[in-house]
Amino acid sequence: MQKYPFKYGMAFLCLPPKLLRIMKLILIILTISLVQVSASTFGQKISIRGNNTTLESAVKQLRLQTGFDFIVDSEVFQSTAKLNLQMQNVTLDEALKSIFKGHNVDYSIEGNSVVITKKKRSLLETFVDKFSKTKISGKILDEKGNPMPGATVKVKGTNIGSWTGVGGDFMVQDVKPGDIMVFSFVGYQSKEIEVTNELIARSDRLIVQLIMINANLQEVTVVNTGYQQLKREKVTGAIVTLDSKEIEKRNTINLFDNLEGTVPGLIRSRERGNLTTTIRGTSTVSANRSILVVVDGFPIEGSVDDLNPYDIESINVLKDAAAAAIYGARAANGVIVVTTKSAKEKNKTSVEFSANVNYFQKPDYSLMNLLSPSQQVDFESSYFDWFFKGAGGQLSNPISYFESTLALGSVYTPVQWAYYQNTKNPATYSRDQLNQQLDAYRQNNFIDEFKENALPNRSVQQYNVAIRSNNGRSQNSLVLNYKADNNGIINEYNRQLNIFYKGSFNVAKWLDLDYGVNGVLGYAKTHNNVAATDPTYVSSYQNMFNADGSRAYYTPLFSNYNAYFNTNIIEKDPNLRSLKFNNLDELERDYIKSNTFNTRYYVGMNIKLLPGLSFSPRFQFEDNKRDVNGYSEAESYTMRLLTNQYTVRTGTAPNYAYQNMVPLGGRITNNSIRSPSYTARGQADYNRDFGKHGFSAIAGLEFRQTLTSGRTGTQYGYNDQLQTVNNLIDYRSINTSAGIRPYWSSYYSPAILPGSINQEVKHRFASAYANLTYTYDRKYNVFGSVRKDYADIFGSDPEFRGRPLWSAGTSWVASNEEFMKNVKFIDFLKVRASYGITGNVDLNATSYLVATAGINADTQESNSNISTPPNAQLRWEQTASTNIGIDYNLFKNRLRGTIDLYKKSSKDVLATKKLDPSEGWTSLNINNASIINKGIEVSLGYDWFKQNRVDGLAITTNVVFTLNKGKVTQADQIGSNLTVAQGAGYVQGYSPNSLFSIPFAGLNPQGVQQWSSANGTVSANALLTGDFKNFVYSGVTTPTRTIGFNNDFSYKGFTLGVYMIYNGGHVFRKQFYRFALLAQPGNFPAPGYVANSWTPSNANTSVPGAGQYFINSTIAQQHSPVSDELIRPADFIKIRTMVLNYDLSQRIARKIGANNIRLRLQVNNLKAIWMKQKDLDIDLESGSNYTTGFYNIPTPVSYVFGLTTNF
Amino acid sequence: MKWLAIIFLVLSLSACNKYTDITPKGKALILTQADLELLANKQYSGSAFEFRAMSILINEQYPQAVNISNLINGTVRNLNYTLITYDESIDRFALAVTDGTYDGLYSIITNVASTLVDKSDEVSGNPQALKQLKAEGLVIRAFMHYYLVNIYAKAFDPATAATDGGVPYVTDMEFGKVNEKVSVKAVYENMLADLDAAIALNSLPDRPKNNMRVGKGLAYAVKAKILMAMRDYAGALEAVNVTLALNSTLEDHRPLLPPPIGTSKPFAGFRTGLTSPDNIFYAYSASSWPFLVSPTYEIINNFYEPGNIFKNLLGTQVYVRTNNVGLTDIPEFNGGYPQNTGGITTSDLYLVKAECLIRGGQISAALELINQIRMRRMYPYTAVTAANDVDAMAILQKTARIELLYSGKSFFDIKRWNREGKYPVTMQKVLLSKTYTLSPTSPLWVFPFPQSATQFNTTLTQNY
Repeated sequence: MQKYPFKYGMAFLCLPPKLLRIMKLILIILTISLVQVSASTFGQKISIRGNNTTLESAVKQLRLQTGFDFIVDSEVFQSTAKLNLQMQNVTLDEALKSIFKGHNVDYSIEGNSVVITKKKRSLLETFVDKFSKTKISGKILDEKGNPMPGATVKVKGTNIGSWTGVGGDFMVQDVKPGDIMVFSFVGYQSKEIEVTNELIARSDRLIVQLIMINANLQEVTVVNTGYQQLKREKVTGAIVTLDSKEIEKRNTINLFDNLEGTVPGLIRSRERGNLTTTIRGTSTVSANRSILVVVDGFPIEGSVDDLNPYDIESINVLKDAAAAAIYGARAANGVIVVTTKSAKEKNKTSVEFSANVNYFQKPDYSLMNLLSPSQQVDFESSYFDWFFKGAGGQLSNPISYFESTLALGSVYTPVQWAYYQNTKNPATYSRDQLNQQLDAYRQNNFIDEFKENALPNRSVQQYNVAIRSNNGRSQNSLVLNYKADNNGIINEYNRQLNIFYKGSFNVAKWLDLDYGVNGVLGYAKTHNNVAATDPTYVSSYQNMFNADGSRAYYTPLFSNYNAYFNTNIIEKDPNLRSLKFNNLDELERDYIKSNTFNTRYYVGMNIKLLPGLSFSPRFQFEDNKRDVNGYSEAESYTMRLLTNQYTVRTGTAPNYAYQNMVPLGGRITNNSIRSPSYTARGQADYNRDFGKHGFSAIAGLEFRQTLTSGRTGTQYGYNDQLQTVNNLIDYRSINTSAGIRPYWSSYYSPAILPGSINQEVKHRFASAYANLTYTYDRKYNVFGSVRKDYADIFGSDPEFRGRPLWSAGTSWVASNEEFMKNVKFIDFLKVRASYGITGNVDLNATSYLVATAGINADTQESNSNISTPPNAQLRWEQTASTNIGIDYNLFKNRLRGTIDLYKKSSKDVLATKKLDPSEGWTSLNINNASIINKGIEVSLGYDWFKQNRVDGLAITTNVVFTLNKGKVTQADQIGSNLTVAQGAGYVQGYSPNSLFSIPFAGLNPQGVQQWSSANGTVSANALLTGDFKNFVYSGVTTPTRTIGFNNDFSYKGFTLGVYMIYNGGHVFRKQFYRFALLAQPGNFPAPGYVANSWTPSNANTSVPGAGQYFINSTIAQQHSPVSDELIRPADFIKIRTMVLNYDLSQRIARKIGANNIRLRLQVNNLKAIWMKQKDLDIDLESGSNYTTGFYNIPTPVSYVFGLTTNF
Repeated sequence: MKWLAIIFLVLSLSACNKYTDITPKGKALILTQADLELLANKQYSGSAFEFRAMSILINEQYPQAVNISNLINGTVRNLNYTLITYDESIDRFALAVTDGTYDGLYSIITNVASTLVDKSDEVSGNPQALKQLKAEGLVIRAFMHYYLVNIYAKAFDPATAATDGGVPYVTDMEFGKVNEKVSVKAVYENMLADLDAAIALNSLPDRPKNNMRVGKGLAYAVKAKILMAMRDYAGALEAVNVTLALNSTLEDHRPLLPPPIGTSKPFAGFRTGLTSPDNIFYAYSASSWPFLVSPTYEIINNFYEPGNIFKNLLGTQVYVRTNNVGLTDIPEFNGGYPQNTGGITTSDLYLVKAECLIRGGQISAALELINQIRMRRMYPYTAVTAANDVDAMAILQKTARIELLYSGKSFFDIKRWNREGKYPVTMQKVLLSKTYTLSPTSPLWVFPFPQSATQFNTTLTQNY
């Protein structure tokens, strides 16, 4: 309640209505009692003495002494003024005059009665009153600043009042200073404002902002499971809800970014290089492990990236069995239910606009941990100096050896060339010249040049326009979202337009229709030449440009020629094409363009059959199309190399005949993918309360089909101008098993094929389901669900094709209990428990004896080999989930959150079972494994300061804590020892994603790695295959605990959000030593560890010898990637996002016709602020590449500038 | 109303079942005779027929591209070391983590042989063709078990066969049931039963449509080998005669010589593999075997007869002078000759028949057969004669070593002869001035069941 200063002299009493009622009662009693006792005392003189007498006791005295009846207007007694009465034998009239002097009271003596009323106003007084009474107008807004139509405005204690209109506007007549205006709306905290003269005098309109009850809980009162809308109170499962307010706090490109650190139980991490999002751990081996995403009630097949983050009203994450039972087969990995926005305000058309520009820093190549150009020159000069001096006696004539490789086209490095020049002819190329050249090389930095010339700063622009209208009968929303990304490299782009129309129409009282069309159009252009897009594919100490500014040419990695060879052989042969390479040249040609057209149509009906009972059939069709077209011009390096590779020569010198087996010209490739899918559903809903009994039930049937197919094709000899291709290509000759060796090279050419088809994959799901929530007295809820799911497990016994699933849950809203009403600090407390069975299915598995077709290469006859043995017992994987949770709001909602404990036991998980090979199979994929995930999830929100005014200070902290432990409780070792060691296998007794290592035992005196075996012997022997006992457990690769630590500050229109994440409990392997990179320098930057490699003077290292000290060891090469010496803790703390929003004051906003204007400045992808391991400067999350052995470059820091407004 | 709801529910559940009953594209079921036909077109190649370890053990070849000096003098004690040095103290079971031959042979038994046998009764099609497919399956099943029992168990000895441990005789596809190891005798009985069943179906063609399919010839050839292993030489002779009546064409090396003796065909491509006329059944481990492999000193010095066309007359087309094993005066087989290493050729059967004849006292008839082979292998050729069965067997054994060189097939015969003891073959070699002897009773004659099998099948106790 708001108190405003008292300006007028007249005392103003604000008494609660209850007290007024008591006083009225007193008056009546007083009147009656006085009538009985005072009959004999009429006409007496009156004497009253007393200090601090109240009006009421004075009147009582008068009654006693005179015997008159007093009829008093109750309002008269409301005065608390104290009287000082000194009256001796005065008449009644005199006494009355004296008592009521200065009080605004009239009295009259009528017979034996005295009537006391409040003074009637004189004409003048009334006139003055008219002036002081006036009207107040204004607007009521919700906390987001949206107008609130239909809110109530009342003057307290009167009937004066009104309602707000569509724009939230109100006007109240006849208020006067001292009046109290009450503003209220269901679900919002009421607000009282005292009318003052200043308030009346203000020229602008009064703006009143109402705060939602439990607004800070970030929970809506209704939970949307996609199938059903349930009151939050009734929910028994573990469901996390995020509303648009929470989602819009920051700008994100991907929906999942918003959920990390805000949804307990959800973990985002890199699994072998791929960013993976999991809810409550991994519970399968080969079946579907992705989270099911449901949009407006339907599962979507398209990408989460296609969802428009600006058009999301709410996100519900269903985590446990009770919730997931609704989605049956596909829910074992959790469900994310997205509800898009719709027009809410009646009779209003609203327009929302937002623009965000995401500006990235350039990629930080230093985190790849490469040698600097100067270090690289040092490494190479030390090696080539040794090499050209005879390689420690290994080469009697290094010059002729090198020249023999030159003629083969073997790649050499610029430093190598300089040493060769110097060694071959020191007279023309002296040692000084050599050293000068090396110094010049040290000054160069190819990566920097590449960043300067080929990599503009990446920018992602997002624009969103939403137009919504609601006329009470029909709602229409049209949302356009445009996203443009320059991919951070020249001549690339990725643009996407997302158009979504959504409407609903109330056809009749008993019939509602809703429908929508969503189209996502994507156009992207990317480079085809991988070597051109990567600056680490050439020597880091050379130039991209010549001294005169023209483009320099050099040798890219993965080529099979060198510059000498190109100049002296290839370019001189008119039958061959030059193989000059410059990154910028190739970035100006040779593109892949992709074209995406994803559409989604849905229509639904809601038929109200009986009170509480409705039937709603719904249908959705989704059609995702993607075409990827590549065009490599005849001039592109790709085609120059390819045509050379397929130029063959026949005959004898000088009468050679040449043939281009790949026609001259360009190459076009196309790959088209089509994936139409549909879902049809019929569902009956029943919602009704009978007194204290509440029922909420659904039952329905759903059919769903998904399909993907596609084909690829390649054509050669393409002429873009003439629009012709050359189809006279002899694939049979080209693709002989040995391949073609061109006459100018010692390398075989790659096989090329005209195209292929992507095998059609069709799946069907069907389910029948029902669930019921029963509520008693708003305190006790019981939930039960049953469903039967069917999937096309190929050939399974019909008995196993369908899978009955069920779940049960209960919750108790303790805070609704009478005895809890007295516990003042508890606002809301709910205890809930659920248990249920969900399923998962690997649709690639089959129970039939299935053979794969092929050709017997000897007989050339079609044949087939059994690829899957029969397995009559093939059945669904099943996951039993138990969840116990508490939802709480304490201390006037200042502290709130949830606590959940769960156990997910998955059994019958499809996994490899090893067999005695005499069964005909060494292993089988059967329902053989069990995995258990246990965890604790806690979310905690606390308001340090609650906003008590529109622009007041508010500080809120939200902490989300997730702990998950997975364990394979039953399985044969899945995967080879190496696969398991790398974290991609499964071992009984250990968590999925566990890493295993061979214990490193230091380098031997020659710099070769050694290992210790299970029996303790240290050797360079092979331990990789054979007994798994030689491996030690090294930890898991996925975080076992994460903490989201999010802080929001707001003050005077500014809001600052800082969103931090801690991921921990896991480990990673730092980059392993790649022997190919240690052996000798190549024409690309060597990894940084080379600088610390073993030399006789640097024996105290774990990096084996490089260059001249390199000793090849196949065993070490195989063991190095799984060495325990590389294991490091992966715990880190990062600020994911820091965002500053500023809401312009509405006065300014309105001047330009807008309701609200919000400006945004945001920083993303900040470097880790803490990492547990200290010896590496890398980004833990970007990880390292398993094939190249390099670290990946992390996503650069980006800045978002944004504007959001609505009209 | 209630009943309507129940009817609706039942209908909808059956609708769900029907709705999800779809056949995915790109996968083939075995439902018809044509499907089985495809299975029967199996390419019999790969690790199942990899008998290299046996070949090294019987001192035909050195481990391919392994430096023998390093192997013998080094510290590594692997399988090659064991096979070269005959060191019985090495735990071969510890070295046998997996075994491609074991896996491969049983894979053919289950996924080709037993599937043909079982499914031919179930699928639709021409009854005669299905009978043939069934017979093919039965023959293959017996044949593969013949290899298994002779690799992983002791050779058949009528005195002890009932108690000697054999191998599992697998006829089903039940993965839940352990395939129990049975006695050597039981394995042989089963093999004969399968073969007799195949022959009784009377549906196999005299000559199969190609040499990777089973004809009547293979059925009797396998039967002959089995009966001979069981020392039923009369039975074996009867059986082998059936096959040789169908095909008795021997490979002739004389056309490799320049005129006037032959037509001087190039050695590479001389033998065609699948279509070679001497094939009864074609199976191999690698299509160009033998390739870059070195014969032992004993083969070079004691077994190759003078004038052998391959060794002495074709020069570097067959043998190059250098080798990858690091031994002096050891050449290397240069390749280009797709040997029938895992199947059966007519010359295998000439040898079977010759032995049966010797056992039956028909020495000159036997030598006539051996000379038929020898005549086609050497130039100039001189016929040999023998005074008695011992001499005759010695000639047979010597001829067989070269005839089956590098295939490892001689292992099965030598193991049998040594178990029997009547015509034993001494396994002795001198290598880098050291003599190594493999006793006829050495456990090395029996290969260990691999760990990958014993781990899951406790009945697989080792047979050595």
